Amino acid sequence: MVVTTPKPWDEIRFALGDGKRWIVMGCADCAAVCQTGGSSQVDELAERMEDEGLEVLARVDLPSPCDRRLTRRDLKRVVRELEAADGVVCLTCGGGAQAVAELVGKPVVAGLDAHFVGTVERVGVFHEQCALCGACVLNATGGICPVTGCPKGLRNGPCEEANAGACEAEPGLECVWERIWERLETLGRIGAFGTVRPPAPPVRRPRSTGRRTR
Amino acid sequence: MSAASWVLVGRVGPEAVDRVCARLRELTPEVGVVLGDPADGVHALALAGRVLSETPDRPVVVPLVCRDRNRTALVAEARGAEALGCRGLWLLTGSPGPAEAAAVYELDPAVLAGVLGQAGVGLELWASGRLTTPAERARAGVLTGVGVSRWIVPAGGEPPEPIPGLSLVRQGPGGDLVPLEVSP
Ligand code: SF4
Ligand code: SF4
Repeated sequence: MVVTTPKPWDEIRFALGDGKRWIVMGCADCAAVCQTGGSSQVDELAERMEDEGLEVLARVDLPSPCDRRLTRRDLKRVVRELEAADGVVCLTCGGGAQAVAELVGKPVVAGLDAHFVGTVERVGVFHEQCALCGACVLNATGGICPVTGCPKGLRNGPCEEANAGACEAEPGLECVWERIWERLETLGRIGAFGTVRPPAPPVRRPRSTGRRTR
Repeated sequence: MSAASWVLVGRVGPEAVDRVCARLRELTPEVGVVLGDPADGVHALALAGRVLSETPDRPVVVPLVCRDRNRTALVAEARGAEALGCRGLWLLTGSPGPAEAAAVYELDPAVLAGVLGQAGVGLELWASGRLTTPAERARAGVLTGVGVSRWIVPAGGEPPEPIPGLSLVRQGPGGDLVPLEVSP
């Protein structure tokens, strides 16, 4: 899931500009799990906006804002409010905010910062275990991701500074390549260690819309 | 110092270049020089140029740090070392500096070695690491497979078991010039 945190109110207030009438939309999916864009957070933000003299015409809990098909369908429920509104505040990740923006054709204010794809330990504690590198090596690393597990993102074994299992870059971290070795040894697959894996496509390369996965 | 056939130069700031070069001039020409990680110091190629201009026949190995640099920069630097007349390249991932610059985001030493081979860069390839855990030793095996032939082991502790195809070089005590002891 996409892990998000709320933007500071001052930043949201600045982005609202002169707009007076707004719709606040949340995400019942990832942002709800993060407790940044669920129905309670939509209510909190709407109340804050109303306290500041703004009008909130509708509060909408989209099941999955990044799914254009569902969002197109769900926006039909608030067509009148959308017509009257100066814009939409999205408590969603950037993907959801953009999907909404393209569908409503009005100013959209992003209310959250999206950080990474994480697994959930408990509310507020997430683990970044996939950087969406586009060239997954999990099959060769015993199911442990070295791209996110190693602060240098190394895909071909430990760095020269690894100190007998301790990570040199992050105090207190065990070198991910020691964990990978142990896992491969347990699985009887240490032969997989010796392969040189090509570099992943640069992780932060922008990927435009319309990328096909099959 | 004279017993060592190689010395390792640590990080050298601009103010120390003259001092280090003066120390190197005292060494016999066959003592090779490995230049250390250049982070926050003088650029390794600039230092290599200076060393080679002052002691022209000395073997010089320059570090090539993969961290926060792309293929173009790394290959260009390797070719620069070749053009200067350096003997080899020390392939390093690099120690992390500021957090945002820590990632090796394009080529790591294993892939870089292959890229340099394909680019026709014919310099001797060095790498380093402790070789104390199976994972560290396996990585050395991987790098040997892609052309790395010399390996620097940090000072202290028991000497590691040899790795087939790899000539081990152990660091001695610190200072401006760290002697490197080549294993038999
Ligand atoms: S190797 Fe790449 S795709 Fe696979 S889990 Fe890691 S970051 Fe994600
Ligand atoms: S010690 Fe291991 S986990 Fe830490 S930076 Fe080096 S390779 Fe990555």
